[in-house]
Order: sequence, then structure tokens, then C-alpha cells
Amino acid sequence: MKKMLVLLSCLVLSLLAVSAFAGDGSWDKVKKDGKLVIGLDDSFPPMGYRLADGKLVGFDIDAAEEVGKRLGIKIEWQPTAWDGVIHSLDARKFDCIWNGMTITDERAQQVAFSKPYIMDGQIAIVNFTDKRFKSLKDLKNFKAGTQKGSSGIQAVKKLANAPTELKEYEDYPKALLDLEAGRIDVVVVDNVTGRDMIAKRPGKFKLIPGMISKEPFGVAFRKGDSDLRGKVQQTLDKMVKDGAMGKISRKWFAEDLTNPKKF
Amino acid sequence: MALLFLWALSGPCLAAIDYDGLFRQSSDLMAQGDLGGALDLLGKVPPPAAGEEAGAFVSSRMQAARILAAQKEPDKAVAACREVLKLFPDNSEARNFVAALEQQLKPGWHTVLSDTLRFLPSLAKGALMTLLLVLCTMLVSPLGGLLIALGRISTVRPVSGFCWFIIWFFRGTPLLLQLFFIYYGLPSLGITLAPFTAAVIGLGLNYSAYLGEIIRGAIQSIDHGQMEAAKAIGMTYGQAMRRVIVPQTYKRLMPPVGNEFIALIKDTALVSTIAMVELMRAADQLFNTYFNITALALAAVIYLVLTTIFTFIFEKIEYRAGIYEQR
Repeated sequence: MKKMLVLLSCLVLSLLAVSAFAGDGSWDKVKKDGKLVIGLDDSFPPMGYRLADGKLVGFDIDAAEEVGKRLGIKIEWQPTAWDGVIHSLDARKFDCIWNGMTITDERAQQVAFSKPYIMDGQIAIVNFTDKRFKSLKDLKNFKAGTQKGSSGIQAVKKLANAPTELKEYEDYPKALLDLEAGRIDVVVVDNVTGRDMIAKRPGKFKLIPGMISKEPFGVAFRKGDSDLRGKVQQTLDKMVKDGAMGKISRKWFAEDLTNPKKF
Repeated sequence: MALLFLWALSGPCLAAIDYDGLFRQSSDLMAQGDLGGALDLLGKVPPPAAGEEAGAFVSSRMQAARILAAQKEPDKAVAACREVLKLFPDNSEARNFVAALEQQLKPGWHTVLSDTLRFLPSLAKGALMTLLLVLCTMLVSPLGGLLIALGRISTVRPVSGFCWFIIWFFRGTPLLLQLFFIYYGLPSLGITLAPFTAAVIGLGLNYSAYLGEIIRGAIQSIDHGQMEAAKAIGMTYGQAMRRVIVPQTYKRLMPPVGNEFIALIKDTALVSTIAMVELMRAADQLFNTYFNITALALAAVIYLVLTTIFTFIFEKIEYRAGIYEQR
């Protein structure tokens, strides 16, 4: 029995050693193909979305294209449904997900995230004419709404007072329209998405000052692909250091949300 | 000189400004209804010096734009956004705001027209998929319905029992649930279907069950004496059905079957829940991206056009089918 154990551990150790030398081949494959295929929901402004003429733009697009340029590979964007996006990653429909994806413990069990590349946060949106809530602490006796399956659900739990009701919507615009109709009092949404959306209905909504919680975004890779993840991470780190990430961030958000020192 | 003066003025107080406090204060003023005061406060945030973070500046101008838009001062709101766009031409928040305000300034018919032109391509693509679904189901379900109807009136107990079960099950559960089961449930049994296949199977089975009952009713409405007469002149059961009974049912079948098919056109919208982009889903996507109810209204118009066309076709077929019974 003991012998068996020793033998087994030897085997495992040697396997580990071999794999450490040889790598997992994930980067080699991308390099050989000359392209990195990235999965995204292409209707997620301002991270990745299409203009009326079909052109793909956004913060994530700029950042990933810069990474591709530095690694000498092409970026191929693979539009996918956000629902079940991790399954599609596992099914090798693409090499990574780069789409304003919030790093959560739950997701981190299924995928290997890069380090956070942006720090976003959850905010509360109310009707412009609403005079009851001046700050997040004033939120009492209120009905909240957010998107189904979003990290807004966790954010609501961090509020000082729990809502009397939390409604989950198919998507944020429907939650905001319900807010406008007065059937709920607050919509909890992440900062960059929420602000982008309420800009489409001027004069209807306002923000409650301050953020409910911080939300790091990460690039998701398959658990086994640490070579590829390492290579992309290395490039991202360099881009933070030489200011390229900051420049892209200022282009889209007017401030640098990518500096790890401020996280 | 003036610039220098401004710099001297804003430079020292820049560090002193507590942006978070300022936003809170302006938000308090807004809650008290003092929108002008809030605007004054927000105006105090200076444009960023070169290389400086501009988050507070953009937030202040966008908040000001929100107030101005609510005060029905679109020109001033646009000006506030332009301040942001001058420094950050790609800022999508400010761009969206300006685009939405400019839409508001234009006459209503212009907005509707430009939205229609913008949305029509994706909606047309969705409508095509809806049409394809409808046509496939229209091919499958009458055949299924006929088999179920013949099975139901069959004297072989297991066959009629089985057909009764199919009707009982597919008429007795929601179509949405059936679609979910076929698309999301079957993969756990090792059967993974493409969305389109799953949709046609789901719609086909459901409509076969309904049509089965309609066809059975039509067959049984033909006088029993006709079957007996056909048999008396030596026809088999199959021959009598094929040559005598079933052809006579066509005319009386058309009104209820037309009804079912019109319902089918609208029921295809349920398929949007199983990862298929048909008319309903296309409209919903546009609605979400542009925050615009016109997309839904246009979809309603397209559904109406489709149902009108099919109603017209069914009327023609009904007329033709009954041509020998006209007096």
C-alpha cells in the first residue's frame, strides 16, 4: 500500500514537472493560428457594442486590440449570448471572454480570471423628480429592481436597509422603464452601464451619489489555459505601466479606472 | 492673461474641492427642488488640466445635463455634453445624451421615420426567421394532425389511447414549457438540438395536437352513411377515407385551421426564449439597445402584415376547397 502511494506520488510529481516545462500549449496554439478568438455579447455599451453601421467599438475592444497588436496576433470577435457564456468557453467556441465580466467567487470556480483590469461599481438610479432619497443611507421602504443573474443582486444586499421587494428583470432597460412608470423606486446597476443607459432618456433619471460596492472586471480563460492567461496578463501589466490602459480608459470614461493602485 | 488668471484661481482651490461632498450637496439641493443651486455647484468643477483625471468633471457636466434636460432646456444640456465631448470625443455617455436630445428636438414624425429606417433591416431579418418557422410548422403539423385524428378514431385501442395521450399532454401543458423542455431539458438525456430544430419540433407537436382534434371533428361530421355507402360499393376503409371522406372535410376544415395558423404566427414569439432571433427577439434587442418603444410598435405592424397575408391566403383556399359545394 505504502509502495503504491510512493509510486503514485512520484508519477504525479513527474507529470507536474513535465507539464511545467512543456506548458499547456494554449499560447502556442493561439500563436500558431495567429489569432485570439474572444467571445462577447456585442450589445453591452460601453464595453463592447455595435454602432448603427455595425462597427464594433468599446473599451474592451480597444484594450484587446492593443494586446493583440503587442503579441503580434489578430483578434477575432465571436458574438455570443451572455446566457451560458461560460459553457461556450468550455466548448471551445472561443479562447476567452472579454466583455466587462465581473469577477465573482461563483464564476471564479468555473473559469480562470485575469487580474482585475478595471474597477467599476454598483450605483443606484432613481427618478429625476424623486425627492425622498438623497443618499444611499436614505433608501428605506423602497422597491428595488435589477437585472436577472447580475451582480446587482449581491449589491442590493450591501445596502444599509433591505428593500421591501427586489424585482429581477430580463434586462436593465426594462427595469428603468418600470422605474419611470413608478412601480419600483430604485434600479441598481453597474456604474458604466447605468450611466450609459440613462443618457438615452435625458431628464428622466438621476444618480444617488456614491457607490454601493466595488466591482472588478476580469478576462475569463479556461481553467487549463494558464499559458495564454499568463501571456495576456503580462501584456496587460505592461500596458498599465506604460500608460496605454490609462489612455484607453480616459478615452471611454474620462478617468483612469484601470490603475491597480486605486482599486 | 485671462487663462493665467483662471489657472491661478482654479489651481489652489482644485485640491480643496471635495468632489464627493460637492455631488452630495448638489444632490441634496436637487432633492429640495433647488435645481439652479445644484447647477451652480456642479459648474464649480473645473475642466481638467492636462494629464489630470477628469472623472469628476465629466460626472459634473453629465449631472448638469440631466438637470437641464429635466428643466426642458435641451440646448443648454447639449452644451454641457459638448464640453465633455470636446475633451473626450468617444465618451459614449455624452454621445448618447446628445443623440437622444437631438431626437427630442426634431418633430415627432421625423423621429419615427428615422427610427423605422434604422430598425427595419434587423426587424426584416427577424421576420424572415418567423416566416420560416411558420412555414415549417405549417408543413409538419397538418400531417401530424391527420395521423393523430385517424389514430383517435381508430378502433385499435392502443393506437387511439396513444393519440389521446398525445393530445392530452400537448394541449394540457403550456407551449413555453414544452419548448423549454425540448431545448434545455433534452440535452441532459443526451439529445442536443439546434434552436431551429427544437422550435419546429415544439411548435409542430403542439399544433399537431390541436389540429388533430379539429380534423377528427371534421371527419366525424361527415355523415356516417357515406362510409357505409363507400364500403358497400367495395372500397376498403383506407380507400373510403382517401377518396370520399377526407376530401369533403377540406372546406369545413379551413376556418378553424386558419384560426390555428394565425395563432401560430403569434405563438412563434415564444421561441425567442430558446436563443432564437426571430421577430420578437429582434424587436426586444432593438428596444433594449436604443431604449425605444418604436421597435416594438414596428414589430406589431409586421406581425399584422403577416397575419393579414395569411388570412387572405386562407380565404382563397377556403373558397377553392368549397367550389363544388357552392350553390
